[in-house]
Amino acid sequence: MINDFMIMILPILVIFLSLGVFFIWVSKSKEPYASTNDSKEHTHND
Amino acid sequence: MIETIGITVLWIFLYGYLIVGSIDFGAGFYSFYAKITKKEHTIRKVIDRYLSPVWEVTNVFLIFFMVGLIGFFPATAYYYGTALLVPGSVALVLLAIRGSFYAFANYGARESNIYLFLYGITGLLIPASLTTVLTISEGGFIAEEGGTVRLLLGELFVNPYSWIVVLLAIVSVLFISASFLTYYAARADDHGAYSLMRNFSLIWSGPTILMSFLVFLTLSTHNPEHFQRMVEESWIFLLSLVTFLAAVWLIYIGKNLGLAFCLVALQYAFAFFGYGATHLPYILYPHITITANVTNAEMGITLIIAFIAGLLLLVPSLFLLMRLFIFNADYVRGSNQLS
Amino acid sequence: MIDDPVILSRILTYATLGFHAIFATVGVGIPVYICLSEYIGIKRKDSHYILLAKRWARGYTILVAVGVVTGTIIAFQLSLLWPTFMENAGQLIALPLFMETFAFFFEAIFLGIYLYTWDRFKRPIYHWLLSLPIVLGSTASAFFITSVNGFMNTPRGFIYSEGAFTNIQPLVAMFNPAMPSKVSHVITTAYLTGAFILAAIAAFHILRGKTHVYYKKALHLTMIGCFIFSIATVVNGDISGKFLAAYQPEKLAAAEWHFETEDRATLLLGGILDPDEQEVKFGIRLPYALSILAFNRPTAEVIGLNEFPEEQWPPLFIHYFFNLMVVIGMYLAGVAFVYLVFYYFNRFNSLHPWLLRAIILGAPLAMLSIEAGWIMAEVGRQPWIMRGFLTVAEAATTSGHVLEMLILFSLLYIALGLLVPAILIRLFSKRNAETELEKQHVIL
Repeated sequence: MINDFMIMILPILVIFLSLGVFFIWVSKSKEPYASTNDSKEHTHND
Repeated sequence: MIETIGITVLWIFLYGYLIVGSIDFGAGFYSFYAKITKKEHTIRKVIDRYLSPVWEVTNVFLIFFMVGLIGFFPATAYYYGTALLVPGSVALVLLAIRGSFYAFANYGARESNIYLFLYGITGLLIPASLTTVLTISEGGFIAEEGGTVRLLLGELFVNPYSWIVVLLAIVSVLFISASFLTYYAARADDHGAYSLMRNFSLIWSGPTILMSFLVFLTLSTHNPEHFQRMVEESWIFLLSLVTFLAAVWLIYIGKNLGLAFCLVALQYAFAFFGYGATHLPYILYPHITITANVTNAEMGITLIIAFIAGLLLLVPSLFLLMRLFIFNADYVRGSNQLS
Repeated sequence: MIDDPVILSRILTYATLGFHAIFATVGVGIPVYICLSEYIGIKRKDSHYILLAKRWARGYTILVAVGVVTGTIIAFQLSLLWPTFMENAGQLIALPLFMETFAFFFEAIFLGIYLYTWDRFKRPIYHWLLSLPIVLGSTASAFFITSVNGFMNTPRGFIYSEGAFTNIQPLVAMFNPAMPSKVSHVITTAYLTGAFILAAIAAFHILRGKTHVYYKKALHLTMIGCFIFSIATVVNGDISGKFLAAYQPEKLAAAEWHFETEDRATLLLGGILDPDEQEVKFGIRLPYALSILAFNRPTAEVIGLNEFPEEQWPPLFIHYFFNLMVVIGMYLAGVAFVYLVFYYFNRFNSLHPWLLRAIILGAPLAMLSIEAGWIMAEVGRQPWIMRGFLTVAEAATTSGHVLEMLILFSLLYIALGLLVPAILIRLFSKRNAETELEKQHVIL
């Protein structure tokens, strides 16, 4: 059950996997607290 | 072979630190000078625009040299490590004060005279303390007895050679920095700063060359063997003198200041590499030589490969940094938009 | 003790590393959030995220400056205090040490560029690209330097005979068995701690009555990071346990006060040890849990400390640091989980004051946990500096001036420790987010 893959490879994969999940979660989720967003309308004046 | 490549690489990095560090250390001093003489608006802006983006890079040259030295010549860790605990720690504290107080003064909310004073004064004390390592490397200051290594601090304090080296370091810092800032101020079209820095360059040029001669003189009694080798290779030191004279001439007439700074850099390159090459094969007289104390071949080759790979990454990045902040006329003048 | 260079060198190294760990952790953790926030800001054309990245980067610069300074100190102190160790390390593990400086160099260059080019590019995405080398460089620094630390725990890549090292393989030394689990744990906990610090700042402002959505966006972004990286930390923490059981069983046994080799081993939380009887009072015992942590099997046999000669035992107090680290890790994961549950189920208020207070508490706790983890890892390596080859006592300097240096550096760290928070508070309270947001609307 404990083998070289688990000791040598898996931990490094954990870093990349968690970074990937974080990136996708944050960029795909909809704008947080949009309903309470009271100043959004000023944002696109350009 | 490995030892030659290793020491060459390390010496190049130390030279890089000498130039970049000197600009930085001197600029700190001039910055403080400008503050207390109320000439802030003339040179502070010029100094800040150069220093702010590059200050962190300076430190790395030094760490790189130290780590590389231990990698290529592990015995240096033992000798220098044991002997330099006290002077090394003092230099470290000075570096720490300088680095953090620069950030505090620059990014913090308030301009503080104390921060600027510490920043300015450490700029002179750090080169002074770091160059004592070069002094120690000439031998005579480290005793090895009963299996332990000890620094003869008393000897170091009464030795004329060690004091001359310290003075040379300080005036060199002020000279290199002033000649660079003269060029930078000229590019920024800042006339007040330009004439001030030009005066400083000329003021410090004389002491620089005087101290260099005194270093030769005192070395001849302190380490005759090294001195003899330097005399044999005297052409390189003459080249250094020639470039120095040319640089001072250009600064005096106020033309081709970029070239003038390059000549100053060359002046120090000739002197520094001449000094280094004649110092060999010793890293520490008479305990460590590059041939006897080089690391094993496997590690040596791996380090060289890593170094080449690292350079492929660093050189373009450094080029980008210089292009954006030093050779970008718009930025130097203070305009922000990148064309 | 006052004139023993070994003990004094250990205390000074501890002071430097303990202080450096704070700034190094933040230095590795925060760039991820700066980078991501700027990216979202550009993609969604949302100036709030851009300002978030800017303000984080501003604070980050000051912290990184102190990190650079303390990192320089530890780089030199290794040679000054442990000359014999560095003489050996120079021959065996110089490669990652050398590469660490490259990674750091790379990061320093791009950090300089990043900070001073916010408005210099026509296309903002070019500026965002500059943040990638910062993330990459800081994380790679952590990777390389942790690899050296791994080597101290499991030295590999050489043959030792008759007082000399032969057949040296630098890459084998660098990719030693301790490296992957350590690297993974160090990096994800840095991301986790960075997230909690940023989340705590946002939570603090919301709790103080700031209602601008800017703070809520900051909180939400960082809390997602808290959750994901706390899970990752639990996962690679578990792998670290398995690594220890296989390669450094005395450290795991000392951390768990596990004296007799036995199967179906119990995990112990807290407790008071009677060292002579090897009996524990008042602890919480989780049956089978140690066997599961060590080998993923409840019946597995875990090696006990009595298999090792007593002079090679690590100090047994590391048990408390180990527990502290684990308990705080669970707390952080719990808080992040509760926040997300509250956020995604509309029945609850994810900005409830008590939840915000729990998040704020998470930031100092996360840092405490980092410190506890390093103490457990480094003290748990004793008496070795290179496990099996060189002891700490053999490696230390013989100089008689370590005490003076200890006082000197302690004063420096105290001064910096007091000044840094003061400067950060002054910096951010002088230019608060609301006024900067107002200005931004004009520009955008």
